[in-house]
Amino acid sequence: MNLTELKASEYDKYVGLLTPIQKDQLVGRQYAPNSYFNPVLDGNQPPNWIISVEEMANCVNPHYEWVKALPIIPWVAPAPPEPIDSDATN
Amino acid sequence: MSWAKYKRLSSSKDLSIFRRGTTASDGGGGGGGNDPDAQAYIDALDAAGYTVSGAEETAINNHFLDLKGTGPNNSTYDWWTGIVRLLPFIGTNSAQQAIKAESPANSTTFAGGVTHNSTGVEGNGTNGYYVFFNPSELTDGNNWSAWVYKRKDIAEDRYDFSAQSVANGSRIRIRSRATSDRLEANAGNVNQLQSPNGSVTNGAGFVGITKHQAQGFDAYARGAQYNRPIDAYVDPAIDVYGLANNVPPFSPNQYSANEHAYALVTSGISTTTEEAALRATVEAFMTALSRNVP
Repeated sequence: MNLTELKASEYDKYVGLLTPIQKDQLVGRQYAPNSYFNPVLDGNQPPNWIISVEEMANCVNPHYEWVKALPIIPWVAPAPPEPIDSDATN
Repeated sequence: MSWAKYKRLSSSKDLSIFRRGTTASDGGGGGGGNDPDAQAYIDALDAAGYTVSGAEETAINNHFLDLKGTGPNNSTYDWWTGIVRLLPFIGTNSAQQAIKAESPANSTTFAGGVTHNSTGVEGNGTNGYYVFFNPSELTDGNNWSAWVYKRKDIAEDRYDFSAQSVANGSRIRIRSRATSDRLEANAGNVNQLQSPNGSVTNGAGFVGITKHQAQGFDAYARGAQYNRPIDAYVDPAIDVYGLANNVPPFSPNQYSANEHAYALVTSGISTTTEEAALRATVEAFMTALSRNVP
């Protein structure tokens, strides 16, 4: 599956798969004015580096047009972080 | 024609016949055009390539006047003097929606997958967020408040906005409809305010936290007030993210899939009466922009 086959309504179900090298290339870089790539780890074991389909579809930075051709994989959410709150009150 | 375009054109020829919005009754500031700060924001949107409609121009001008206590929806409170951040997210792309309306020469930033709708900025629940404010911008840790207007009524255990310091434990954050339909919030403290389970059953609308005294703080969701009476303010010293939890040195987490139509940081709101006035002011702005939710 590639980006052009996805409908906008399906964006939240899929992500673009990155290699670790590609992840390093995107960190701190803008895909559009005032908008930065945010590679994150998914919930697979072992986890994959991914970016969202929105970042792929909305990328207008010519240096990173290659993200539009990234392999598309289903989004697997990582486990939620452990709660670390020390106190609570109503 | 937007007022910004009118001004450009009128520098070369007389277009005063087209002028509108110059009195309080027709949406202007009265006696000479838009409020200058509202005009600066409209000009910045125009410079970023967004054509501000007449309805939007009137809505923006009225809202700036309302924040200053001289508008059609608020003539009592001044929330402008203490303003730190005003993000109306007007426009249809990142450059336009990033403009800080209180200081339009500056912009915030987005990261990850967010969508710039005509009704606001929408997170994807995967990796999207925006930089809301940095606590160093607050002039008084005991006198500030932070608010967002959420357009989606969804139950999600994610933060509306959040900064969580690992270094000193302090958090500034709220998730207004968390697990068990309760609100959870911190306002520069380590201990968390929780509303009763089942107390928040609508995840949309105007929500926020307000610190207006040395000890404790209030949180609001759609006008319902919750209070934590203890805890002093400690600066978490990291950016507060909208639509996610900022927790350096780790990656941000708990990304929200909600849509924010508006975000504000200003002075502390000390009473339910003042919160109701601010909420009514923002609701009027959202209604004028066709962004209001039931």
